[in-house]
Amino acid sequence: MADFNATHDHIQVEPVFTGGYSENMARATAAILSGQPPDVAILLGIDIYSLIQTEGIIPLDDYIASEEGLDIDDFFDAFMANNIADDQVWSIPWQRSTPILYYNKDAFAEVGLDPDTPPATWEELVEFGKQLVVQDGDNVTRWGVEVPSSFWLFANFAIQAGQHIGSLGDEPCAVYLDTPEAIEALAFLRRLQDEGIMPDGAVAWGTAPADFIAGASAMIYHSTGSLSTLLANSPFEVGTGFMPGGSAGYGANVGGGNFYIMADIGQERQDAAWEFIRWMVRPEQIGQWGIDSGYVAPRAAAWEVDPLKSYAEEVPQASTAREQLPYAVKEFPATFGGQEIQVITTQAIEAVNTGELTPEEALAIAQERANDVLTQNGCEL
Amino acid sequence: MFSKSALFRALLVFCSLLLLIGGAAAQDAITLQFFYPVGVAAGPSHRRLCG
Repeated sequence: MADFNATHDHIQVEPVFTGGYSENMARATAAILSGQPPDVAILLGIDIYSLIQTEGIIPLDDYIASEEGLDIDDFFDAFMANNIADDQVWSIPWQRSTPILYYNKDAFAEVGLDPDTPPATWEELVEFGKQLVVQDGDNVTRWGVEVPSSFWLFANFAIQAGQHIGSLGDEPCAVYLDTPEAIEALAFLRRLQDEGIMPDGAVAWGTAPADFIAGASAMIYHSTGSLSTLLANSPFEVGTGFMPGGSAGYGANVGGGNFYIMADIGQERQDAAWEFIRWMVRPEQIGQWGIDSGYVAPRAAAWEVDPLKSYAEEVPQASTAREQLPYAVKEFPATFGGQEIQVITTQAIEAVNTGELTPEEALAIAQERANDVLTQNGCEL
Repeated sequence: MFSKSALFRALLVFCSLLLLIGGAAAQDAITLQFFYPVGVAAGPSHRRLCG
């Protein structure tokens, strides 16, 4: 951003750090509704319908097709899935991700597993996990695997069981939390605990990478956006792999941030915002950000030029999430009230992780609550 | 060829023009407000629930 400001006398960008994604969305929404929107923002793909509902953003098709446009076909399909509604493009991918499996190669070698072969299926995950657990009396000093209690991770297990719990199409009123496949997925997460492979109780998002680095968990599910941190801080060789496949094979849902341009700021400011976005997503620029952060550079051209081309050759873990993209679909849930539904889903997972409810009970409640959110947002169910 | 006062006046006009042009350029520069999430480079300390 400093480079942009240094090279653009006529446009200066003033970053406003707003908290995490949910706080950023809350603040952007409040600003839009008060008539003082920001000019440009990085928000989640799932926020698209809420932002359209508030008439807070503009479609970008005219900019994309203009002389100062962008080769939108260069962006990976999975990363564009959340960015299109009503056949219009509403945001440009920036720091995008999928979850991947991280594993401790040294621990694999220690217990006689091949350090170059991560588990490929749920059953292998259980089998490997059992071998990797280390106990000191009744105390577990190393868990086989940790899957944080998060809607975003649970959604992948459901896809691997054959059901995307959000809509795959342009259907902002569709959530599928109480299906047999979703129940199968949540039951499998509970099984990891019942088998003694994963700690009992809810696992916080930040706990898993900290435990992994400390050697307290041999495998974790986490965002590819954690790659740089895990590589830099782990005192062992870090392996990465696709998330193991379930009864329907591999599967993932994408995540991460996208550039949106706000409505009601005037043509001149919108033009300037587009110029800023075009500069930020240049292959070299977005590739460098992928290296610095661990996020997946979301366009093919970035992988064909330095610095990312050389980096991907030196650090093969950086390519895992990109290679997993053929199995990836829209980020969950991509509906009206998406962030509320995410919270509801995470609460259901936590209730199962802590043993309060069965998967059937928890997901039935979650579906009912999600339906209420959708109805409150004008959906007819 | 020119008196000192004429040179001084010319210099004054030139500097004023420069100031005017600079001021106009400064006025023309657009400052974009950019909402950006903190902690997006995920790691053990990052706060959000997903990637």
